[in-house]
Amino acid sequence: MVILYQLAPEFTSLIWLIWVAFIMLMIFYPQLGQRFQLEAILRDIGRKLERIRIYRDEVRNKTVETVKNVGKPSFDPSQEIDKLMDFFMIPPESMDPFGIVYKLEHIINIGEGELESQVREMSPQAEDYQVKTLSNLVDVSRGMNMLYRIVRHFYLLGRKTRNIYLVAQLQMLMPQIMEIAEAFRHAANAFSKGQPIGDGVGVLAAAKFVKGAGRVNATYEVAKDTIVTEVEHDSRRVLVVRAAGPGGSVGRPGEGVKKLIESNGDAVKLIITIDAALKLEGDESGKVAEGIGVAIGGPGVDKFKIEEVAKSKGIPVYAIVIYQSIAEAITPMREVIAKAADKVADRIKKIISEKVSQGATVILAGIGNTVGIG
Amino acid sequence: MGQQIRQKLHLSTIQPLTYLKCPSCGTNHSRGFQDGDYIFKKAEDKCPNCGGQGMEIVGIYVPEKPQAQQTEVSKTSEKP
Repeated sequence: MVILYQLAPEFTSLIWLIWVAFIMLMIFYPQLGQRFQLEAILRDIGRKLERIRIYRDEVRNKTVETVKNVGKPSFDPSQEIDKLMDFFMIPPESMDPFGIVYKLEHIINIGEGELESQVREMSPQAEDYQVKTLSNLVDVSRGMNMLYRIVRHFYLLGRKTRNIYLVAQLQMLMPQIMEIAEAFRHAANAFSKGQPIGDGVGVLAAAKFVKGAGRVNATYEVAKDTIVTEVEHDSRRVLVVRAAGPGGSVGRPGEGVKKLIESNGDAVKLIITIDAALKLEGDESGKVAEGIGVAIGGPGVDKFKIEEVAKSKGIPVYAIVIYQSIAEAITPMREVIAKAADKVADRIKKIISEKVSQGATVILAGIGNTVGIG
Repeated sequence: MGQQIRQKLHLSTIQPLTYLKCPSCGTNHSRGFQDGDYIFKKAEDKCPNCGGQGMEIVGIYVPEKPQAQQTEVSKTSEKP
């Protein structure tokens, strides 16, 4: 500005005029700055939304491709998959919460069954375990589609109403949303190939404990997609409950544990659950921690069932968790998480020997998605 | 804009390795993940050490990058 004055002093009045005009504009149109900011935020969100749309299409195409390759349908499954991507489940009414867990369980069971049967219809050549993994893949597509629709909804709403507070909130959440979108993208890749994911570490630890225990007394199905393996450790009877692999399934561990306690009377002296848990920022991935309670995520049905039966019989509940991020939980398993399963298997042996006396029965539940774990 | 973003995002997939254990000589080996692999599966691979059959898949995971390599990568990616 100073240079401009020196070079051309005759511009002084023009510059003054510009200044005055600018100040008047700011006085009579104070939202101008906010408008600029709104446009900048909308542009930023728009770019990220486009990225999410590309991810969504990529995941959808991968799902179609995998169903074609594995299921070998006689027709093009694209339309069916598009239909399943909009499939929804309505949770039960919570105004009167009495019995809501069983109502929720009913809805989830019907929903999962319906999804699986539709995937089975379009995959005549797929084996049972492959159908389960394909259902998981369709679930990932559904999640990705829902994420895209929600972000798009708030973006368009913000654009329509010119509400800076609405779009600013969305912009603040975008880093986490993008992380989840990236994780879905990798999850689709893992499920399309049947690779173990971070969430499967609970199941893996339980399976490694069985391997380490040596002789297996019996293996049978206790609930849908849920198996029990009876082993002995240090003269204690251990009933290991986990989802049946290697297809992608979480089984019904709540139902399984409940049935085992009902059939084994008062012999059960301890319930141990192992699951992946969300780490806090700064926590090390694969860190193992022990505590009290039932370690099961998800909608809460399985957790409720175990807590209910444990309370009625007065059985102590012990939990072991393996920390990981939300992205690590649904993407191919990392080495630190896989190695944690060995540590957990060793800890279980120690806990069983310390907490229960010889001849007693222990229920050990490995929780998580069993994709890629036989 | 979509095309530009698509080019930038060209799929960088996470590829795990399959870890196998030979029941005859007890040595561990690894190879790239192949379709149909799952943990505890009896693979058809021959042991590179003793030639034994029936190697068992004991792990499928993404190996961690060595610490030194990680530091090197982060150093090179830093702009002056």
